Amino acid sequence: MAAFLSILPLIFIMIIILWLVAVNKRLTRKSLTLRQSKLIFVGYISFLLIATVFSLFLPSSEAKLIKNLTLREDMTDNLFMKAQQGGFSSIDQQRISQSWEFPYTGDSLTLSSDYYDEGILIERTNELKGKIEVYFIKDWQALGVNSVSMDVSEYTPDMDVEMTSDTLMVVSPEEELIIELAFSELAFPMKQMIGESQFGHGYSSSGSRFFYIRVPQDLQIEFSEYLYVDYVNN
Amino acid sequence: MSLTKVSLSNVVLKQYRYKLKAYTGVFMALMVVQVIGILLSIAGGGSGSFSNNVYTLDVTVSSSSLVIVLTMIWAFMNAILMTTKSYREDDFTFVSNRLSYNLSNMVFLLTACIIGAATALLSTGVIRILFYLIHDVDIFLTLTYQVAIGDYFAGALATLLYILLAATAGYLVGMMTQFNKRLIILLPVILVGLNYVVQSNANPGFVNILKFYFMEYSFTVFLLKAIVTILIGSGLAILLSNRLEVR
Repeated sequence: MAAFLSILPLIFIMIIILWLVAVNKRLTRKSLTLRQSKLIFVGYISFLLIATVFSLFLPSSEAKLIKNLTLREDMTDNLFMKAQQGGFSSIDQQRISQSWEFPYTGDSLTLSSDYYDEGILIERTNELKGKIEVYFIKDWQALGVNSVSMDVSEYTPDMDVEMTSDTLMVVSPEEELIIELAFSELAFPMKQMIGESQFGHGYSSSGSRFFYIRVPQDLQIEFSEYLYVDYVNN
Repeated sequence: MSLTKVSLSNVVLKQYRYKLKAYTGVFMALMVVQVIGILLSIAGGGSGSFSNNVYTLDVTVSSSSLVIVLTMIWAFMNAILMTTKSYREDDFTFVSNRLSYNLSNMVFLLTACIIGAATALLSTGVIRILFYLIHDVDIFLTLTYQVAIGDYFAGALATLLYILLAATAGYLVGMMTQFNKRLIILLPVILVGLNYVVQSNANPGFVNILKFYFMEYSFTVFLLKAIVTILIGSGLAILLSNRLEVR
């Protein structure tokens, strides 16, 4: 699809040139009358108006633009590091995307995943008896598009976890999930009038995305070497 | 010899009405140029992407900026065309002078530019629909709440002024080349040559001229800059046309 789109402008130009060559004789032989020209142009404007009205019903959401990406305090705050240093309770609740609680009385727990390759942080605690708490933390995700950076974290998929006998499985939403977003950028004179630069480029940067699992103190944890698992420094 | 007295405004109005009917090709060309702009805009005006093992997130930019740029080129080319001999001679169908010829041309160009700006801005809707269908877009990210109605109005007026600036530049260049045919070759050579001479690390040459308009973020100052440029350009074009040989 991407390859096709990259040659799309060339295809259009070739079609237009071929069309002009093909109809050239017809055009020179008989030009449009005033009435025909008026009809065509009024039809074009009507088409633009109707399309504008229809476009209002397309699924849309307000873009969350990020100004001064490197200066924002909440964005320099690494949640994974914070949680690893024992500061999980101080993490903003809004950053906790999902949470689960499973009753568990076994001696050992195996962690596994299908495609998940981000961090898993385990906290051993005496506060829990006979249960496991799982949290999925999803922080900001800035994507640089032209001259702006925008937070697109709300469109990234949530994860799921399943407990089967002694295995806690991290489940991805679906294989090869592709999220296609379109940024309706203002035309350059509009951008200029709201004080936004036409030049420069936005930066991409990601915050933390990880599972935080609280388990009883003496529970044995086993996992595959492909999983990135770390422990909280109590 | 006619005993009927005609005022300048009447002559200009007659010529303007005639041009609206005679130059329908200008509007057909606008339509073709904008359709090309719309089709080229579908490829997207930039993109960003993030991918990991679980998902891929793509953001493609949909914008009508290219349509506006092509409309500016259309205005520039049409303004040049209107200064050519064949178009000039159309005006001798009426009782006219150089001033009425220029004024009617300018009013016609203003009308064409207003229509061009309006249709260029309206093309946003078509681009979004085509984007939705071709790119299989899940959701559009917009800036609806971050832009006030006044900003939209200022942006629309700025769009018109950019197209008018292009038309004025075209009209002036057209008059200059009518005044002296050698300027067709000399003008680009002088401009590119001058830019090459003055360009240095401290002075980016033409970029300064672009910055003068494109990086002016105050609407009032931009309005002033654009209107003054249009008035100076139009005045010079009228002066030059007065020096052209009579029919």
